[in-house]
Amino acid sequence: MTDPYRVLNINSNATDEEVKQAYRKLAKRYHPDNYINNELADLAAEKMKEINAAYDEINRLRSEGVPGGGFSGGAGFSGGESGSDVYSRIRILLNSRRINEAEVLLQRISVAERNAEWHFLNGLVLYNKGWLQDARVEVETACRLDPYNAEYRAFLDRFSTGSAHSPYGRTYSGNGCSGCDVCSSLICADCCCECMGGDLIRCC
Amino acid sequence: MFGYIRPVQSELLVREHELYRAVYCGLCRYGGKHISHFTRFLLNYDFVALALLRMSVVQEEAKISLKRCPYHFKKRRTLCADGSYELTSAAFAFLLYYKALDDINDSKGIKKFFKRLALPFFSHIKNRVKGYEVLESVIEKQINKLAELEKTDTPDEQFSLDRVADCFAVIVESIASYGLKDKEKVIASQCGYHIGRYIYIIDALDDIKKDSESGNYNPLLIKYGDISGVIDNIEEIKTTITDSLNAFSSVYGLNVIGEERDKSYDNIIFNICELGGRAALNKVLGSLNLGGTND
Repeated sequence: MTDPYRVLNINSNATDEEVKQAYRKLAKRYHPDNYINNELADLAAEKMKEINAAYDEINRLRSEGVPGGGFSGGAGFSGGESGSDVYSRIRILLNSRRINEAEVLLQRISVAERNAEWHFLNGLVLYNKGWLQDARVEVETACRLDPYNAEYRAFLDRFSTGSAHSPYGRTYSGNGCSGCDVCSSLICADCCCECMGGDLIRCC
Repeated sequence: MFGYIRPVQSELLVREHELYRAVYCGLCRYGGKHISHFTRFLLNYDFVALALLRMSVVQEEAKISLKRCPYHFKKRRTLCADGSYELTSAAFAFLLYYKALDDINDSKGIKKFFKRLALPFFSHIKNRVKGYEVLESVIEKQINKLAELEKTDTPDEQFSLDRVADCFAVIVESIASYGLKDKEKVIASQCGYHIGRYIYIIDALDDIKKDSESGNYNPLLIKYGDISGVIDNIEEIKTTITDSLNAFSSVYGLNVIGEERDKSYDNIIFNICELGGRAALNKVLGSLNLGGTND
């Protein structure tokens, strides 16, 4: 096998961060999606395979402690665990409204390790500071990265709602779908079905 | 300067409307008596809203009395709430002075000369305020910080509207929460922050045509490149402005939970954030021909 560092076009003493960046850059360039209906598709797929193999190889070598890397690759794995630890600490800080400390902790996490939770918590910090545009961007990113997380969704909804105590109610004209909308749509659908001789909801 | 944060009067109950006018009248009268008669012509709705917010958060005892207005010659119902008025007038005087100073630094040539001539008048107003040194230092610091940001910021994808808006928002925050403690402080400061952010961004949106012609600093022009960039992203701007109003409303909602209280103040403030703020936004959009209506 050829030298994996040469495949990624980097020095053998590059840091983990640089390795990751080089990998991402190449993967982006040779991604099969860029070559749909293109005669180069096969070539790109082959190249992609090579890049993946080289990246895996470097990670494997570094996790075994083979010299040539700045940090050990193992940190990446344990980083996942200590990461969630940090996140729960940040949540506790946020609950006790120690926003600045939470922000410092968040900024310490390296860019490569920032996941949906990071973006959500950063959104919370920004929301608490009142930086609502940046906060919305962060929470939307979190929702995109983890679309099934109810907590992120619920928080995103909070942006567009005012106080429940307001006598003026919700004047926000969003495209949301309330429980009422669902029921009335079902009833309408049922009526339409009945007109055509069918039935959607048996009991009415 | 501003005037974006006011209730939709047709939606107020008659007694709420009377209360609102009484607060306006009281603040105007107080400013005229203790600061300068000229402030009576410069007073705007934003400061009335701040005075209202303050009264409502600290539950200041206030009584309404009939007094004659020298400019309308009619007797008017006036609300006396000197504590809140004193703070609001002081903040008003400081803002007038530092805004004038900022204007002088921004302008050139003959205009600068004439503006400088008017400065003693503003410093006279400022000097009549006694005992708000902390507030003054916050305002001075933030205005300088804003001027600094205006100089250094260049068009950039990473440009954060919030970072620039933060300066003015912190000013309003410190006015609203001046001298308060605990729960009152949290509510007043956050409401103040959201009001400040709202005013700053909507003011930038309102001035966008003027600034793009004259080349003056405008954070929206920096963030979105030029006026067509702003128009392309108008939904984003609208969202962020209404987000501030929503956040203001939900923070203020914490103030009214679980207490037996006069609902008039609360209703006026909810009117401001739920209806009035959006009405002002629509008006600004309408003036830019961007489909806003004056509803």
